[in-house]
Amino acid sequence: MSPPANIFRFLILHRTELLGQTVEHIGLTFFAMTIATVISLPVGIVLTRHRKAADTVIGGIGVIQTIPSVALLGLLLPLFGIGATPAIIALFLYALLPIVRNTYAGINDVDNSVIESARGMGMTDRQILAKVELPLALPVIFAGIRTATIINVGIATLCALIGSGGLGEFIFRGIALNNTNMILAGAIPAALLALLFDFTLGKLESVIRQIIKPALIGAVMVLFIVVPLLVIPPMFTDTFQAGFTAEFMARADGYPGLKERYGLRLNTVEVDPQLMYQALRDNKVDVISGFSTDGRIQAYNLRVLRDDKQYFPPYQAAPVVRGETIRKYPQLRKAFEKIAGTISNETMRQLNFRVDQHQQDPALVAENYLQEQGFRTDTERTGTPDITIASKNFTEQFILAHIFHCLIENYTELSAELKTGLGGTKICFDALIHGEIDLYPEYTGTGLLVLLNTDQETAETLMQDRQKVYDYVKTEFQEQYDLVWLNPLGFNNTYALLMRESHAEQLDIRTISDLNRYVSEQAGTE
Amino acid sequence: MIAVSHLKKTFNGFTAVDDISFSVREGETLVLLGTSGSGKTTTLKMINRLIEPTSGSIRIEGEEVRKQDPVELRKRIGYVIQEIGLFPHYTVGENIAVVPELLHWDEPRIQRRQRELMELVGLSPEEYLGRMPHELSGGQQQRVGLIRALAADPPIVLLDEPFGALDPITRMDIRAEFKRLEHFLEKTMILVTHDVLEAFELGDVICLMDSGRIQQLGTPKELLFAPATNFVRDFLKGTRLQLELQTLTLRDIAPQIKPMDISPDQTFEFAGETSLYEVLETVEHAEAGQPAVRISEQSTAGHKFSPQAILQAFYSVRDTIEL
Repeated sequence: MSPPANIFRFLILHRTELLGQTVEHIGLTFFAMTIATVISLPVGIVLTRHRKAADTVIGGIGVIQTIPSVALLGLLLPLFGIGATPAIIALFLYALLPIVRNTYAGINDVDNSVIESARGMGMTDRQILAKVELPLALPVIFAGIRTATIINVGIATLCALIGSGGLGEFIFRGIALNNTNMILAGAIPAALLALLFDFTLGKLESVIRQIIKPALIGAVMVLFIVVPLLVIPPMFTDTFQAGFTAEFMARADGYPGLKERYGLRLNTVEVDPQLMYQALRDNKVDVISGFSTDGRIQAYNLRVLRDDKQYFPPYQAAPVVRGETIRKYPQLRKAFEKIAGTISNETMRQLNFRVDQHQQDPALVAENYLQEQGFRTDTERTGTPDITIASKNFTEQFILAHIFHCLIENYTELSAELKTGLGGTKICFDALIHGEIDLYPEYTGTGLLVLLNTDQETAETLMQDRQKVYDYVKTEFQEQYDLVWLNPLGFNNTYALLMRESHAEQLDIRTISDLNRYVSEQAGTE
Repeated sequence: MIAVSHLKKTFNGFTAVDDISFSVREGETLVLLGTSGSGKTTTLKMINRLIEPTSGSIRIEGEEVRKQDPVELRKRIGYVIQEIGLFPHYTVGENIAVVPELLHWDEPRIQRRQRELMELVGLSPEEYLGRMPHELSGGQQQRVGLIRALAADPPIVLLDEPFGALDPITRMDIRAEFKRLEHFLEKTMILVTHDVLEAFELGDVICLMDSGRIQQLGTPKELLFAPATNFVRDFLKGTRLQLELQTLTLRDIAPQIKPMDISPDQTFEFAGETSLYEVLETVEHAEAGQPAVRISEQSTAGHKFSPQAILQAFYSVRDTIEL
């Protein structure tokens, strides 16, 4: 089937979800834009009356604009938790600059002689503002609002990372799952929304310009405030809340399968993997989809719920290398053999802990570990690198990439470079296939379920046995992609449901079945 | 009507207007004349409180303006500026209606006033009231600017270089038109200009300023024939002859003109207060033959004068004139 037809089918299939996300997206943008406009307009106007302060204030607001959006979301998380609130605040902050600056510039640009004649005719300052300055500045002010809106529709997709919903859910899930249709199903409506908003605002501007009546502006303002309140879905709940990553929410071996196996029904929000642990620690959510080797389990005093029905498949970590690379440099095998099977779950968790809790440099942690094990760790080679090592964007992958780096440069004559922090499985895998990188650490479960898209029947027969999974993945990767799985490193970084230790103790939850029982009871009492 | 006394304005230690005093009687036009930087515009703007004086007083009909609400004050004073300052988002009609609306006139009254004023300056109300300012020529815009200042029939009108932005031809036309407008004739006006000819043409009294100070305050005749300082003399030097011809009237020289002894081919009749400039201009356009001028006044007993005789009389009068 041709790609467009695929997308079309995908959209039909997910229309309810798409509609929900679109409504959330509109709600977030609309609400943030309304607050931003209601606040920025007066600020811009006041600044035209205090020009000395204007540079400072506009400069200050400009600084907000320079904060990367993901960083801003990260800063807002501890203050406002997850969900719609921090998202709206972030969008609000990004909308300030265009509106304030354009209001200020628009009013300042009004011809001085017009203002002077207005004043000379006996208009009060307020009349001059309402009848002369604002109408004449209207096109510039609206240009600011339209710019801010388009920026916000884009940034609102990122807000899916902190559980506020919106079209970003499809986009990030699609990236995580290597599913282009899903990415497009989020991206295309987002683009259309931006165009639609821009068009509507353009129309609104010409309407306002034709009939400049305070009553009309008032009515529009009321509309702007009331509609979002209706549109904003009940995003604020205080019941038992699960914060899952986009990937976990969508993967067959994630929440969908978990629901089926345990009958579990949770109140879920989507959260960025980097922000998820913090959200759990800070009581913003009650259970998350973590990984069994994560250092923060120790650091934040979290409890791993036992997978008593053995649902989660094995996720043994191993370096995956391009076939071409390993044929050219067979000595790589020998180097990696030195650490095969030596890193236990406990060890990996401790290494992760050093980075996550003690804020140590992953490179330093990797070097220290290797030195403790009696390896050399010089990485001073110069010149064009022979090998490019990549990693996904979480702690464990950073550490592993640095370990690989040290091994290659000390136990072969090759030099290597690092490209760490690639945004997810799909990006690493695509880069590997296209030869932009030579190797990265991958997990057998991910290979089986995400990259190979193994059908459920085959997967189920394999999943109980880690060796079988490894063998299957190794064979299929070799045949389908000419990629080579080297020997597993030793630990099994599987999915795990995590709770705060104290909270779990209080509710007496040790296993996923316990959690299921608790949640069912809660639902029953409501 | 307007009495300004010891007016002073300093900006950050720089004295822009220094000890200015003058008064304007009802229906009179006072011209503030000077080069740029002479303080004339600053003086004007202190009258409607667009600029607050540092010291001194301004009284309008005996009342100190600094004790009045500036907004209410300005509604009673017409204001015309060089840049015109029409509201670009209002139609011509809406522009004219600004002050009447601020004064809460009812709609029919505003409409009557709009039509009346448009006809006054020769702009068809049907055609122009609904237009936007940018659809008008510069001259038309300035006409609208002038009648906008008259819209609510204010007793006082302040004009800041009202013809300054126009090309010379349009400028002359509008100035002539302006002089004839009865609506302006009855107003008490203060007009700022740097154009000497304009000042002499429009001013009953001229206040010549330099560096914030008054050099001379007087009628056009006084400035011409009894200059108070060398500055005044020098200021008028370039245009002196034309100014004299414009300022002196037939009546001023009538006793000195020798009557004609031959019979003319064509006779022009003028009132006694017609300026010599206008007389000579008109006569120059006479058709072939010998033209003659007659003054429609008893004292000259119906004598006819040749242009040459008028010029001779002018030369002898201007050297001996006593004010």
